[in-house]
Amino acid sequence: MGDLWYLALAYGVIWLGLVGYVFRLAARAESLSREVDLLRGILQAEEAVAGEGQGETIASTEARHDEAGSEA
Amino acid sequence: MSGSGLTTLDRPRANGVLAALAAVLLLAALLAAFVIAPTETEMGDVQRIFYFHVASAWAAFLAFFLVFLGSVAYLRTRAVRWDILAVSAAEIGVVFTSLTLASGSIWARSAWGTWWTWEPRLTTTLMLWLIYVSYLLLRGMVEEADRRAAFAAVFGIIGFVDVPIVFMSIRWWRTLHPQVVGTEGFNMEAAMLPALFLSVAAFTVVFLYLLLLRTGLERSQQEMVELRRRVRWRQEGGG
Repeated sequence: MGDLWYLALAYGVIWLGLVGYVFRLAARAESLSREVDLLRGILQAEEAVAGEGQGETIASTEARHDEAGSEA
Repeated sequence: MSGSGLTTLDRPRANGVLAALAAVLLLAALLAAFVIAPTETEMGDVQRIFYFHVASAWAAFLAFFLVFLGSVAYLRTRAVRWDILAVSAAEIGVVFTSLTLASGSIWARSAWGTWWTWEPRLTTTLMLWLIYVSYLLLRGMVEEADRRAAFAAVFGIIGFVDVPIVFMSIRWWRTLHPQVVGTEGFNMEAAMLPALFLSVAAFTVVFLYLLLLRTGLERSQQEMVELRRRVRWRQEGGG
């Protein structure tokens, strides 16, 4: 094998390594971004359900309070 | 401002600027290495491997120096951003050390007739690679974030001891490896220096670009862990 073959191999390895690493980072960032969005969605949904539950509790307490007030 | 000193709006712009600058400098370095730099009289064209090989080694040293700085800063302040800097720089340093070992091995096959020999520069560089691969593997074995960061910081500081040993190995021991920087300056033709400096500048910018990408990734990963913890807590009836 001649000098040029080794030269091409060395530069090929370096370029492939760098480009491959950038693509790997981009793929990991993409997958993480999807998972973070999903988790945020789940958390917001859970908080909304908890908020509704809390709202219902407050409304029923107020209703009982009004009933008690009118009876008095 | 975020912990890294870049706002979320600045980060994509900084990424774009660094990527463009890295591409321009890499192309200029290639042009300088293949067109402007003269052919070395003894080794011929295969000597041109040297420009990106040295630049890659420089980027690896720079990365491990940042691991060292990040580790010291973490132990002093316990701020997570220093741990993020250290782990990101360590991973990038391993990539650049791998490229240095691979390109050096290819050059050695042509110049010395062997892919590998246990001479001091090669052996200490392989040790450097193993130290930081172990650093990354060991991080994955500690569950608790604070303990993992503290443990990694100590490892990152001790591991850096090998960097000056790698650099000085060709002066301390008898070696086959060419000595680029001697006690009296650069041991090479002046006409080769622009290609070397351009390659080093290009790899420095590539390193900064990768560091920006990798630290952003690490922050997203930490956000994901925190979100998972909160979702689990909610589902178990918390709040």
